[in-house]
Amino acid sequence: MSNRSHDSYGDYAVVQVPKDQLKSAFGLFLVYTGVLICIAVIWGGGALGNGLTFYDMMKASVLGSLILGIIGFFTAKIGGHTRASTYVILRHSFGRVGSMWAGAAVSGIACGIGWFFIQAWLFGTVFSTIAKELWGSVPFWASAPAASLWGAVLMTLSAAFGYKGIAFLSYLAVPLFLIALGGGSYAAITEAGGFAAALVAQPANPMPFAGAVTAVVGMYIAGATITSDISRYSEKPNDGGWAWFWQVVLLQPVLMLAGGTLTLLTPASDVAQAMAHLGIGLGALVLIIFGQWTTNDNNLYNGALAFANTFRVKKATMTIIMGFIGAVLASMTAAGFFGTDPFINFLTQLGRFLPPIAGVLLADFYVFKPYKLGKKNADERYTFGPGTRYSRYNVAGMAAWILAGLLAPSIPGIVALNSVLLGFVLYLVLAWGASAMNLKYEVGTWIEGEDGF
Amino acid sequence: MTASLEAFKKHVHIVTLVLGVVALVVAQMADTSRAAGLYTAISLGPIAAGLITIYRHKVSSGTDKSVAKIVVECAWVDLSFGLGFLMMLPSSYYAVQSPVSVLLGIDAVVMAVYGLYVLINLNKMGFSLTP
Repeated sequence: MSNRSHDSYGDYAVVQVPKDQLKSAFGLFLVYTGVLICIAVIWGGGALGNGLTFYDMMKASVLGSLILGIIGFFTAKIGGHTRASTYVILRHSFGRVGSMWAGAAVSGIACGIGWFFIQAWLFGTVFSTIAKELWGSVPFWASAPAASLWGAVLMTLSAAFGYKGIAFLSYLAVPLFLIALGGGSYAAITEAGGFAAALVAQPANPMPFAGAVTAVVGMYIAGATITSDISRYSEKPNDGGWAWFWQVVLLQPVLMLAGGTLTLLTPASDVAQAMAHLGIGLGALVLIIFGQWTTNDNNLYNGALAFANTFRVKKATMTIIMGFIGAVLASMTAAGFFGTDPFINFLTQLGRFLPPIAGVLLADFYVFKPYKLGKKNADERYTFGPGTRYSRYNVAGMAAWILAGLLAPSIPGIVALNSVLLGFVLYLVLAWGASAMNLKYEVGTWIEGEDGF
Repeated sequence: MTASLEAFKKHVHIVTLVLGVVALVVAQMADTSRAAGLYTAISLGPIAAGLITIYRHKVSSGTDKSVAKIVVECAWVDLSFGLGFLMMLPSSYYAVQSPVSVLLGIDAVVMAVYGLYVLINLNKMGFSLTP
């Protein structure tokens, strides 16, 4: 095991989590659940309800969640063995500078700034809608621009405390959210016609089953790729993997069915609005506030971790800077200065390049390193710490990543899954092929300093 | 093991179980089946947590850290489920007649305050609240 680096940037952002700081599987389960639970997943279920019958919707959400559960299990297990974040882990398969570029692009910019501000804007917009439903009018503090602003500030606060902050919030918020969702969904579905009617209802715009599974996988593949950001805290290597697997397999279908069943019965899928309408106002507010808060502080947390691997800045400082940018953008969007479409299009394009990272990572950790380089002991397969030598660029890793991101949409099937598989296969072909032909695929040298950078 | 941690170890599951069972019994008195159903479902949370805590103490290594972890996780359930009751009680859809509402409300406040009390004390003793 390598010597321990000093945690100069906070929250063990660029160093391994010390063994005395590791967390229980239950805690990890709650944190992962906090990331999952949000309005967007319920709306995603609503989209399924528009195109599938109840039973098909159930099958599609379970199958999609199983695929995500399996991919995320293996990526989280890497975090459990290495006790390092996704971006630090990438130093081995992308090279030190490669990990800076890949992490900053797909997680720093996409999660930390882009999706953070979109989710904060969504929070403000939905909050003001519910406020109108509850109180008849919208006071200034509850208007979309104001709510986007203070919502983003709340999310930044918990993210600035790092893992402890998001875990603390998850312990409190996750049970509350699930109680509100259970009570709210039951009420909304019962009033819209009941479960018996939902079982025989026909969708308004039928969609192919494979398309539905694609949508389910695509919606959360980013989360399955960067599971190590949380599982690096797991006490046993498999704890993080199982925590991820069970929360996504058990709870994602429930969330999607809540929105989907309502859509099958009515043209709407907004459980929170239906709850407010039925007089479950406090529950509706909890659903929105805690749902968005626990998800979006994770966006910021992941983004700050990625940037901490790129720039020599304290993680908390980076979190506050990104939170400030996100709050301003969200508030200005809500005030109508600009629309979200250009940003969402850009983030969707950028999002294509996140799943292949999982493919490269899985191929390197589970196949290339043990079977080509003979590093059989999973705990010692990747080393970190002062003096560790990395290549500056791992050309095989970077080429596989970019090619998979570009080619996956043109291959039939589940695009997100294709991206992972293509990244996996291309990396093995390139790295193994280059290695067999004695071609150098790792360029330059970077030696890790005392601060872990 | 410090005296206060030993005390929490002895009574956290009992308090949780008792408060959960009280909520379960009171929930059966609700005048609508949907309210009875919801509050019964919520009361199963603390009951399950109390039972799981008993089991976890039996199989735990007995070190201060492991005992504190079990106590803290049980206290979180008390706090969040207590708040869960308080969140749903004012809703008109799950409204219950006043005596039941008052009883459930008192039970929920005690549950939440007790959970908070345990968490604050364990934090003062230096144990992690996010174990």
